[in-house]
Amino acid sequence: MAKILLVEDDELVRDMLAQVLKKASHEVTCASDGEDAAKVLQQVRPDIMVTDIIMPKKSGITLISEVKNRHPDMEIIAISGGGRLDPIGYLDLSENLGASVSFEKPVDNTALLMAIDLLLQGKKKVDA
Amino acid sequence: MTTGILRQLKKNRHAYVIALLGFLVSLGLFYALQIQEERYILNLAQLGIETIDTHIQAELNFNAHILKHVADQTLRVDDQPAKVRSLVTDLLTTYPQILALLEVNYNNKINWIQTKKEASVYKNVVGPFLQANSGSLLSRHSLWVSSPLNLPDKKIALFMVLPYSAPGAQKNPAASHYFIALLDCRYLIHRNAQLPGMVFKVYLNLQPITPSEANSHDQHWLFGVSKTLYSALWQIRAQEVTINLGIIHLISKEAPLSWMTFILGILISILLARSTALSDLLKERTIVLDQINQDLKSEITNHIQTEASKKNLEKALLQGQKLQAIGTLAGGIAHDFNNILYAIRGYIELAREEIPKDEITYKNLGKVLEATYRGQDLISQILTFSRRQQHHEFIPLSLKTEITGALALLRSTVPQSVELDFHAATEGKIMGNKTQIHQIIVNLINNAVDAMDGEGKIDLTLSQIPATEIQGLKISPLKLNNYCRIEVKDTGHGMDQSTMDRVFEPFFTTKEVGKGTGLGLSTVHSIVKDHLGEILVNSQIGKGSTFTIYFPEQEPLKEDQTHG
Repeated sequence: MAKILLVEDDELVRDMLAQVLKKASHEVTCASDGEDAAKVLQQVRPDIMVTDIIMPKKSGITLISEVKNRHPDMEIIAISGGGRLDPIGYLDLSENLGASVSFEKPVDNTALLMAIDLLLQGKKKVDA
Repeated sequence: MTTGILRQLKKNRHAYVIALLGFLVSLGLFYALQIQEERYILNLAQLGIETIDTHIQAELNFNAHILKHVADQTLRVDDQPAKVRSLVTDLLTTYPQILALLEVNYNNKINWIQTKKEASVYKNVVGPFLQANSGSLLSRHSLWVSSPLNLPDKKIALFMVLPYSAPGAQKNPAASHYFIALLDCRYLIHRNAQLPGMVFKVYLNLQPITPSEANSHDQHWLFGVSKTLYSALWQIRAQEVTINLGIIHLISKEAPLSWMTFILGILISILLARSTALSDLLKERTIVLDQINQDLKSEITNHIQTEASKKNLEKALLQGQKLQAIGTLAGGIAHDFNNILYAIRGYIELAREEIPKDEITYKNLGKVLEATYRGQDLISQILTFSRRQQHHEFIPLSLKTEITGALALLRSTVPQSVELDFHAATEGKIMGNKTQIHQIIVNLINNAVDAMDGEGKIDLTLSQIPATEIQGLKISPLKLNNYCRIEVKDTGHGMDQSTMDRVFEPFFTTKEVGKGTGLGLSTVHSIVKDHLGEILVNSQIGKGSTFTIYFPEQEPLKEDQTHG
């Protein structure tokens, strides 16, 4: 059970993921892009942020680097359908910027949930 | 100027030598033949003189015999001219040598003439003869032979004069007379005779005999004719007697053999020299022409090669641009497509969780999921292709090791009925990306398996091609380097030319829908290009295809530096 911020510009994917995460008994807050996410973060303080990379207004890459600066202890999971910023892939970049795990779309949801659980366990250990 | 002449001389030296040799040979032949001819002529002359001797002797002996006979007869029939004449007529018909017989009295008057022809013909000759010799005829007491005479009928004759004194002539000088026989002369020929052929002169020392001598021989010649006649004949002084010798005519006058040979020799020499000069010139020209021909050929070859490599370059450039454009496009599409697929899959999974597993809807949704997996595979291939410019770590690797590794993974997917052989003649050290090399092998083997409809043989070979040989291959633009060659040869159904031309094009596939994406070989192509290599395809319908890949070999020196 965790507080999760889901950032995804594609409504279909966002809704679907929200359902999946909720079904797994997580508390989900949604944002439609990087800017929206930044606003949400001023009010909410999630344990984990799951974010897409390629988004309008503010990209996932910028969001990750900002979030890591302000909330270094927040776990971040990056997901992307592809795309590149030569010579490094976006997902590689996001991991370099501080994302704990990254997934390529289409994501295996079971693996995603498993990763969230693992991150939460790690967090608990650190907290303890 | 001088050097020009010398050069000319040197150039035509064969011709000059031949001309000189020809001239010398001709000259030698000329002299040799001249000597032979002179000898021959001399022999003939000798022979001629001997022949003349014999014949003149025989002829005159005979004629003297006739005249004696006439004289004897006329003696007996003296004062009976009619009888004498009939006798003479008989003689004329009996002896063909006698052309005419005349009786001349002491006044040089022709008493009668008996002839085989008209008397006038001989009178014209005999008349002047008698006048010219009027003084001497009667003073002679013995047989006397005149110089040869030309007769109007082109005959040559001799006068044979026999002075005769009838009994009682001393009292009556009118009784004295002489007989003249005009004899056909076949052997003694006057030099002025207009006869054809070469006239060869024979000088006979003939001396007229004196009356005293004649007297002393009087009895002798009357009864021993031959001896007297012989001496008489040979005493005709300095008479020029000519002989017609036909064979000498041929050799010496019109066209002497020696001269003919000489001139012919010179002509042949000139012809030989000319032809030698021409053949020398021809040889020279042929060499020049050959050289020109060679130059032209190599120029044409160069031109064709340049054209070909230009075309190859253009093709490669076009292909490269096409691939890049498609790659970029595919990359963009793939990103959106992944989102869509993700949404579909996520919702299906959510939906299925609400449905009991034994319901038909659950199973049907499972099929939809399967379809999304296939879609995901396709997108993954498109992305692989579009990411060909992605940075891949290139490390020194052994193609042999990588291929062996890839094959180990592949064997389980290749049907048992397909034979798969790998032969490595070299280690194949290159700078490359392991994953990509794997991908190449997997794609090529899968392609070969698909081409064979589940049965056949795949031969995979790895070999080294020296830099010197790579230049001869129709691939460009390869730099000067040793190359590693991977050959994948299948016994599948092969391809036609148009398929071969498009085989590396993205999304081009001959496989049935759903079986191939049309990206396998274009991915291979991209990877090979990333490795600065070259890929070629060769195929024959019904016999199979061969894909050949060239990778620049990692230079050992560089490897040492890297490791050092």
